[in-house]
Formats: sequence, C-alpha cells, structure tokens
Amino acid sequence: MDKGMKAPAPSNDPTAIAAVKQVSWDMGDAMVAGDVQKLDQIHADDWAQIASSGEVDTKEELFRDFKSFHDKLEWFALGPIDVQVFGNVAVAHGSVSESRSRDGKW
Amino acid sequence: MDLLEKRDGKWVVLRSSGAKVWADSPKEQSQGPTVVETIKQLERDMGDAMVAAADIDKLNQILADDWAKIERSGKIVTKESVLRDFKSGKDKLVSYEAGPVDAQVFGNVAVAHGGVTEKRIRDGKDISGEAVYMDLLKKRDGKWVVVRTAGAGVN
Repeated sequence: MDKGMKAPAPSNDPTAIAAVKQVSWDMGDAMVAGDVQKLDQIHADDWAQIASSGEVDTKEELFRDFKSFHDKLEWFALGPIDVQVFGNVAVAHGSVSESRSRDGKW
Repeated sequence: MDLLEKRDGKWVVLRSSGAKVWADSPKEQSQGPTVVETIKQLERDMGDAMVAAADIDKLNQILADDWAKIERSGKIVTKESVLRDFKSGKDKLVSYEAGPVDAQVFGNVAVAHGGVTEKRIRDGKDISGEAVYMDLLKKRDGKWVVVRTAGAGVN
C-alpha cells in the first residue's frame, strides 16, 4: 500500500443510499411485472453481466428474454441490501430468494 | 450484486453479478467474524499480489480458473489474460491505498467491495485514479476464490 495515497471514502448521504436501494427494489418489481420500460430505465445501455456459464449477457439479450418470457421472475424476496456510494459510483449487494422460470422450467 | 453509476442525475445499473447459494447453505448472511475476515484478508492479499512485480502464483491461487470481468469498453478479461498482462508488465499496479473492505457471506458465496486509489500503468499509459470494485467469491474445495470482478472509476 501507498500511505501517501488516500482511499476514496463512501458517502454517508442517506438520500443517495436510499436512491440506490430503491433501484434494487424497483428492478425486482419490474422483473415480476414484466415491465420492460422500467427495466430499460434501470439498466444502462452498456449493462452487462457474465453468467455462471461464462456467457456474457447484454442488455439487449436480457430484454429479449423478458419480452419473450424466456426468463420470468414469478416472485422474489430481498434480504437487507448493503449499499456504498462513492461519488458517481455505487455498489449494492444482498441476498434474494426467488421463484424463476427459464425456458418454461422452474 | 450490482454496480451502479449516476448518469444524467439518475442511478443506473452498469454491471451485475450473482451466484446461487447451495440449498443446504444458510440463506441468512453469515456474520461470523472468522469467515468475513477471511474474505477481507483475501481481498487485501489480492491487492498486495498485484503490486509492483506482481505475485503471479498468489494471484493464480486467488482467482478462480473461470474468473472473468467486463471492462468499461465491454471487453472480457479472463484469468489467463490478466495473469499474462501482469507478468509481462503490460498492466502494472505501482501502488494503491484501499479503503475498508465490506464483505458479506452467504453460505458458499461471498461478496466484497470497497474503494481504492491506485497508481497504475497499462500499455504504458498512466490510468491512475480512484475506483470502486466488487468481487463475487465462491468457496470451492474448502477454499475461497474470486470468480467475478467489476469496477468503475470514481469522478
């Protein structure tokens, strides 16, 4: 480590933290409702994730799956969400229990 | 876990990462100080292993063989490519100062994230600055390894 440097400190702004948590809740609700417009607003156009298979999912693919009901979230229950905000970037994580069907399989 | 960025005054999700928790694992977050400290130490070890000449053997142990991250550009970085770049000096972490690591453990899965200030050279260019990272870890064969990483620069 370089003691001459200072690590970025997370914000304690409750408004910012609440806004980020709300995104997590809204995302789950929009997935259950199949609200593609809301999901479009929540996900950045360059959103991506690497699935456990190693395949990369893009926003386009995510939406195609939801629109076609290839992927359907039936219900979910979020545990506590841990949020840290650093300026223009934030991290949110927590656990979720869900019932999801993919390709018609549960 | 999600990495978000504020764009045009609105928070949007930029990267996501998740893993299933085994059915026989406790769903509830493990607050056990030992396992959480193990994760935090692993994160510190990973940072230390990247610095200067880079401890490739150590990084090889910490990163899962299927480790991957998506760069800002959308390019996929694999374990093979990241180790190669550290070994060749193409990617060089000169020094860093990490803030506190926030870790949560859910059975066989853990998440860790934090902020870091780095002095870093990539392809001969200085890309130093502040960043936020998040790691997804899994316990495999009794050992915690990092399977996914995501990060973004702080403005």
